[in-house]
Amino acid sequence: MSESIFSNEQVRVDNLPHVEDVEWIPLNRKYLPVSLFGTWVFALVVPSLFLFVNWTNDIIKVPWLVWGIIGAWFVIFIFVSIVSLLGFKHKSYAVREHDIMYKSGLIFRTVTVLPFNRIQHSEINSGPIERRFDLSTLSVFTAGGAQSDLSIPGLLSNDAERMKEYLTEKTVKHGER
Amino acid sequence: MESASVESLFEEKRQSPVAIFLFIASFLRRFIRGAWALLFFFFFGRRDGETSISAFLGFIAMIAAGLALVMSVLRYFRYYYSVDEDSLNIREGVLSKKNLNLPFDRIQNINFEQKIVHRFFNVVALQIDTAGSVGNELRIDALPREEAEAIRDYILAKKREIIAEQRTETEEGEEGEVKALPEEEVFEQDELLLHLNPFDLLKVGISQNHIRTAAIIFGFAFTFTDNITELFGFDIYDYIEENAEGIAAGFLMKFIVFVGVTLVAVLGLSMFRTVLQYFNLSFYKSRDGFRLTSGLITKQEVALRKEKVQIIAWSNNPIRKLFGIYTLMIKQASAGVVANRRQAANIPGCYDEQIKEVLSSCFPDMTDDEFKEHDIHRSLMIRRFIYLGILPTIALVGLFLLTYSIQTGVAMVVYPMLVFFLLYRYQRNFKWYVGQEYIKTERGIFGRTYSVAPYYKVQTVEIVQTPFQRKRDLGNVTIYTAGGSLSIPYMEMDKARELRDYILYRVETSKRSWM
Repeated sequence: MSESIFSNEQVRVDNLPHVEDVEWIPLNRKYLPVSLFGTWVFALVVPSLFLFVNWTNDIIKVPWLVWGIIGAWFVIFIFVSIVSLLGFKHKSYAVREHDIMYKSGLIFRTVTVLPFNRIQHSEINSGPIERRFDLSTLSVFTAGGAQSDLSIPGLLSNDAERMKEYLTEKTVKHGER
Repeated sequence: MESASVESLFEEKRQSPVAIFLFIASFLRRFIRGAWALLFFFFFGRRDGETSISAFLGFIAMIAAGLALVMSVLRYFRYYYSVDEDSLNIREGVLSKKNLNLPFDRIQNINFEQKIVHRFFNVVALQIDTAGSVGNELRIDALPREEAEAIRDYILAKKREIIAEQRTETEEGEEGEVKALPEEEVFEQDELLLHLNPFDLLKVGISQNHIRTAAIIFGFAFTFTDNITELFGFDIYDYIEENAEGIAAGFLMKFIVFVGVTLVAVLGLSMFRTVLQYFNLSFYKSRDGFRLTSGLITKQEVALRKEKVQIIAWSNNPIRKLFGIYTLMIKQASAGVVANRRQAANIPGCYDEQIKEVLSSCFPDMTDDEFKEHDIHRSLMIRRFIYLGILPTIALVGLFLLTYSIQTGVAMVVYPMLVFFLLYRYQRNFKWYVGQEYIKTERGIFGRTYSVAPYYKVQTVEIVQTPFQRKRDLGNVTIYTAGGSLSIPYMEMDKARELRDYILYRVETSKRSWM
């Protein structure tokens, strides 16, 4: 093992629990089509609006420019979809005795660990489409700002509920502030 | 001097009528900002004889605006505030009534704000921040100054009682004897740590980070130079061209004039902003923490509680080093998602003494020798050079091959060298220090910014890896606190894992309250 990051050699991190050793639980497979669906609804609505406004008000008169913009828009969304597809298998979470963590990202691989005694409150949300597949998103909030909060989508509603109860129990026990 | 008595605070009262004016002004501002598109269409969207959709939408917007305006005024008449033994009460609402009860122990911060309008009528806005991350900030828009001070002092006194109660409870495990502070003892003697006189202000103004100001001005610099030539009655560029020996010298002269004008403009604007914001700055040490007042037209008063401080940072640049000063940034827990200038107190013109004072006051158990120094990996420089150096240079080369202009040729050679130099310095100067209780970062190209945070204040730990970093087992580590974050790029992953495991261990086993 390489040199310790501490100046005081007596601080040994070897005996502490390691985030590296955790067993990651992937998101429910049904979530992938759900999230892509949401993305594509947006991808279709915006150009429709654009076309409508443009047609009624005659803003951009050159047809190839209009179709060029629309084309570029869809190219972007196809790219985004591919990244989502490939990155899905990396999205996973884990719950330990004192914290909860989430891993995501194909290109930018991010791991965020949130200790229970830093939880301000937690929420379960499910959109209309998620509900049809019995999926929910568990969000955990801290005082560290939006980037510090955790949002785990693609959970079976039962799992999400149980996790939230577990978190609430743990939060109270740790005497959060 | 008899100010507003405590009993009168218990009655329900309305704000100062100045609030109506403020409601209308802020409403107009928001309306214009939000509906400018609609307004634009409304005024310009009509064709001859046609009534297009845009005009219709514009009409709707105007009606909605009128309604909202009326509601604003009615709001004022339905807004009442009062205090009682342990909480602040707000009763408001025109159509939907709202009764807000805010216990004092949920109040984290009380600040005054005075915009120009406030000063004109001698009122202040009272801002109260509460705990919890769901954006809770209470604001009473206009109160007479004595009233606002009376409320603040009353609340602070009550909070101290509560803290004293809690302390005796935990210490003795039973209801201890509470020594309530007599109401008169509310004005504590604050110790003045720093005051900026006009000469200090000048030092601060000169040593400000002009690059940001320069970026704002850069676009205007061209027009400035044009105007100057009008002023002088002759075209300075033509003059240079006629009299300079050769093209290169002429170019150099023009460049010097351009730079000169920009510098003067940037310096002027920096000084102006400095004076506006930091005039008469006074930094006090108070019983609970610190207090900062400053401002020429808008007077700002920030109260900082020691326990709420999350990160302490201080920075200098070559000019500040000359004067021996730093800008001290005290970042405390901010209520809500809104990043607010109030929450980070910026104190320019500080010396070593003030920094040490603040550090020892907020982080008493921090010692210099507990820290072990670490570098970041060299590949930061290589990687960023590809994006910031090589790619733009290729663009410049292309441009040069098209135009063969001297300026592009010079830029194409100078730019990558400059970028390399800056990146090299950035990467070499970036240091992070690991202690048993604290973590510190040091970064900067020509100046240095130091940031310190204790582990027990950490909220979450995040590690991000790009594909390039994954191959080399490197990562970007970000440590979030309730007052901001600390970031270390290109850390070796085995160190990152060790650090993360240790921080989590400390956070999860610590009983200390981070706020």
